[in-house]
Amino acid sequence: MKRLVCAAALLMMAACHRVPPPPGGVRRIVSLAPSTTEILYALGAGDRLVGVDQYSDYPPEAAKVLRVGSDLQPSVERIAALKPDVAFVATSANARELPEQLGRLGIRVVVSQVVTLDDVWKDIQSTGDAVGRHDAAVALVARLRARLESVHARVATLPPEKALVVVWADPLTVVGGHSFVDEAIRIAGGENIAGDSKQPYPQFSVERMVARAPAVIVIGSHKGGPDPTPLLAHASVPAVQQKRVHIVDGDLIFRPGPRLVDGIELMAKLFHP
Amino acid sequence: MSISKAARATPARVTSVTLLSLALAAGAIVGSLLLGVEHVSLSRAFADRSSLDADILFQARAPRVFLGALVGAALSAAGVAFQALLRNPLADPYVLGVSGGAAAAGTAAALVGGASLLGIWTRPAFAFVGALGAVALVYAFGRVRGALVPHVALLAGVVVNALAGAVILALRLFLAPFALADALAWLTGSLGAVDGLRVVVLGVYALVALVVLGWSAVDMNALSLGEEAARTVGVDVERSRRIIFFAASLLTAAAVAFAGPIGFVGIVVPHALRRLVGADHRLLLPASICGGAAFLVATDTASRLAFLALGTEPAVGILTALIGAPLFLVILRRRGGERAL
Repeated sequence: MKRLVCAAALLMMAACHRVPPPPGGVRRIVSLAPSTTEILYALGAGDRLVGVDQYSDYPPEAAKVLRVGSDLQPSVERIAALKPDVAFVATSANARELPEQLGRLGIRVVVSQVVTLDDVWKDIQSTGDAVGRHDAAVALVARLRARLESVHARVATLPPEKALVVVWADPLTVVGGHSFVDEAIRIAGGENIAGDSKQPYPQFSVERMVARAPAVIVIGSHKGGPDPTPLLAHASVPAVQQKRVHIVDGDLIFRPGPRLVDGIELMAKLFHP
Repeated sequence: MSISKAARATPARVTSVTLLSLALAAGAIVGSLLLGVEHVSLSRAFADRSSLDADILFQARAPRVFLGALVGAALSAAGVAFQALLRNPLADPYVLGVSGGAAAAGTAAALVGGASLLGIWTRPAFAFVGALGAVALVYAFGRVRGALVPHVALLAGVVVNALAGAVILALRLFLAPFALADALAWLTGSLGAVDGLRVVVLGVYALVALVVLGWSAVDMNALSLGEEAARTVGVDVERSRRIIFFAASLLTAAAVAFAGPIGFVGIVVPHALRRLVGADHRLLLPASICGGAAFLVATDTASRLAFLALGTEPAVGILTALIGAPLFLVILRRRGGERAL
């Protein structure tokens, strides 16, 4: 299945009109995913952003950049009018047709596809390469990986804590297997009780959650929720009994950008205080 | 089966049909309580109320099963009522705009989410108010010279639903990806993580509306024969239309507020049962109330169990549509040239 998705993505990318980088270097950038925007700022290329999607809200400077619409339906006209040297599109956030649509307008498009944690590093590197910040990307990836190493060194010897990371409480939607978040939970010293699910963010059985007795529940908050109340009703769940249901900033966990490492450090602290 | 014979609603037949369908609903509920994703030891669940078994049975499973029963009963009864009121076999509980209003307002609730003072009641409250708004709109525009006219109300309902569809599409532009996914799950119709209080609230509320509809069963018989025929047998057509419209609309509003617009229950169950017990509403209504409960509970059990291998549990609305739509076609086919109602 994964192979099929990869093949489809490759085909899709091959179908895009390839536009070479401009001779004078990349000066005008459009980012259509919050994670890409965060990566660009972390690489010191944030000041070259001329347009971002409406969910790009970090770092705070990103809020001052012109909005080109939502991830799913950005204004192609507005992007074209910005005359970007490169536009970043993420398969996680954007519509499939978008790269081709932009390519047809003569815009150089870089597509990022993040499924695993390894993809996050690769994505940071290819983003850096695409905007002439190769060395900064190498350094950033090295720094982030070093921080993960030290998390790993601290928790690797401890028995993994049974953990559940909640995306939404009603209906219960959680982090399943096959996603970088699942890997992040493992690195933080957790054992994802929904890790056997074949979907990255499945709607999960409440019964099963209770039966698997998570010791820690981490709720990734985002605008508009979720409210943890339905989970707290299950008094037999160890995480509820021991008051280990934590609400953390969902952007630290669910965005495949540099702050994911902050999220992993935070989860490690919650799993193994 | 001979419809004419089956349609005779003697007191004995009303009693036997009611008891039989009650038994069916009870069977579905008990079966669903016993069949779950996780194994539960009943003896341990009842002996130790703080045990894992008790938590699964009483906190996770039972509220969901009973909410499913109530929503199924409500939607199915509302379907019967609207079919009689509009004299149209294709009428479902959503045809008069209730679902549209609830869906639009329920989606709007995702913008504030759990951040509002209402907490987990935010979405049901929004959806209920939205549904009431739609009912008010349809009532305002569905009348001619002060009297509710079914086919005018039907047009008003179609327009309200279309308007709500546009509002939902517009709201989607403002929702963050995860909130959007959640709103979509609810729009499919879902008996997600429920708490016991919701069941109690809906139970009391639905009981009142169901009693009112039950009271109107004889009027429904008359109305489905047509306005003139109803008047000849002494029915106050305007009054009983108003009562049936509001009782069925308010019933649907509450069901949608808690579970989202679950499709097909309100159309498939009454049609299937009309074939079995006949078109007399004194038989059809109680049979549909219990049959709707049994259908939704059984479908929800299936949706909990069928996707276990994928480690997920899809919204029940997907399955009611997947089962309901083909079932409806089969019923249509087999009914052949019979009368619509």
